[in-house]
Amino acid sequence: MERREAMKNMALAMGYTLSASTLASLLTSCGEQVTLDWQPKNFSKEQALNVETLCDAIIPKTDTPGAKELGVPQFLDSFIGEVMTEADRAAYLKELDTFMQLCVDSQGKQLYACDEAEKKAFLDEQNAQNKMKYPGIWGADMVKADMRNFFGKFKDTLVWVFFTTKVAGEELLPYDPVPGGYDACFTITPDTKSWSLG
Amino acid sequence: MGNDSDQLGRNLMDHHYRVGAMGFIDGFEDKYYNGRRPNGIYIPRFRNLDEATKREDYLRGFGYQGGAGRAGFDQSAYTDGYGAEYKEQLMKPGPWSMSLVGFGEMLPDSSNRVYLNHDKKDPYGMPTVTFDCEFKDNELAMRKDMKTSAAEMLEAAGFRDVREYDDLGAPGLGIHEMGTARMGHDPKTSVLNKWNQVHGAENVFVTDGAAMTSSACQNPSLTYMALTARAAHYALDQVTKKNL
Repeated sequence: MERREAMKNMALAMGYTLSASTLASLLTSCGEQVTLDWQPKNFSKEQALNVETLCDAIIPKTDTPGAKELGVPQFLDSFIGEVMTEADRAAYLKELDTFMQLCVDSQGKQLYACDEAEKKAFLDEQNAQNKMKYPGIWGADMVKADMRNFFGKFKDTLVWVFFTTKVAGEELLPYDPVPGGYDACFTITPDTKSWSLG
Repeated sequence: MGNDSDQLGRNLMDHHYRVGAMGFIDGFEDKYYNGRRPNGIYIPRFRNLDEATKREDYLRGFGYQGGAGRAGFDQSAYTDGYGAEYKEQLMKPGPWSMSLVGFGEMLPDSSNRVYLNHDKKDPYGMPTVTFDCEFKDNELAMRKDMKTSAAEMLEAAGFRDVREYDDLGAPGLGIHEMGTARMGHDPKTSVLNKWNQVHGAENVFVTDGAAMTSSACQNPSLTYMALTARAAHYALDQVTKKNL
């Protein structure tokens, strides 16, 4: 699966199709090294800060770049603006706001303002409430979408975006877009990474 | 003309699928693969073939398609947690899993139909097409068996955490459309004769899936191609003999 295809599939999983021109602008917007101060076009400042915090908590920087370093929050900002319909964007942002309010209710402050222990307490709680989604085949859903909470759905999207950035998709994971032959079984070591394009 | 039977547009069918089970299997943790496997597995129909396999709850049957693989970062959806450990886990080959999906026969039903709707016109004043089609009781009963039998097989084969699924959807998702001009000897009950010619209009050949009288459970494209080749051969033969 090409990165472009992977991105389309990610969009399809969310129920959207991407036109070539939209895709081109999204591809430009993601993968750039970014700093904290960026201007969200579709998120409010507060939403953007929470999205960035969430990205960083789910896929943090380790000895490899995290979601924040690879521009995932900016991608999501473009994505909701350029791919979602107005009605869907409104619904998505409402869900995000509800999620943000859950943190305020639980920790007394916005997620981005939480210290590490408060963040962990809230996200552990959200993680525990999330329903896992198991792979069906050919478009069949194993779990109805509404059984996953916002945290779970956000995680899915974030992972797809992160691993289809140029850096994660081509450098962090072994990238072999035209594998040629099929090797049905070989032995791996504990360091072996999964294929970028499974 | 060509529709004395009133069967044109009736008995619209598709396969019903998106039902089956998946499970995880332990072992082979140090084994992996590379490349694009061009196929999966197929389990041919095993129900209602003879007395021993006869079912009381539904007619006809289904086959399974499926495959096994190791998850990549798509294991995210069923990997618990978040943070550094989660990220590292997603970058390693995930668990082995196998999925079975049933493809079942949809029975012909004359109330499942497609027709020109003269009451609803498009912007150019042309009649629109109405698809009035749904899965009926036989399909719904079959799906229960498709789901539980898949789970039984996976469990018997040693899979763990086996999960059934049933995501019915609507006819058309299977993109194996069939029926609407069924083949038969009697012009009073069918649209096409045995050479895919329209009864009463023998210079018209219909050679796609419309000729099918029921949907069976196999992928139908090869059958369409065979029927088409056969009809084309016949047409050429008849033209040569100046019968057409």
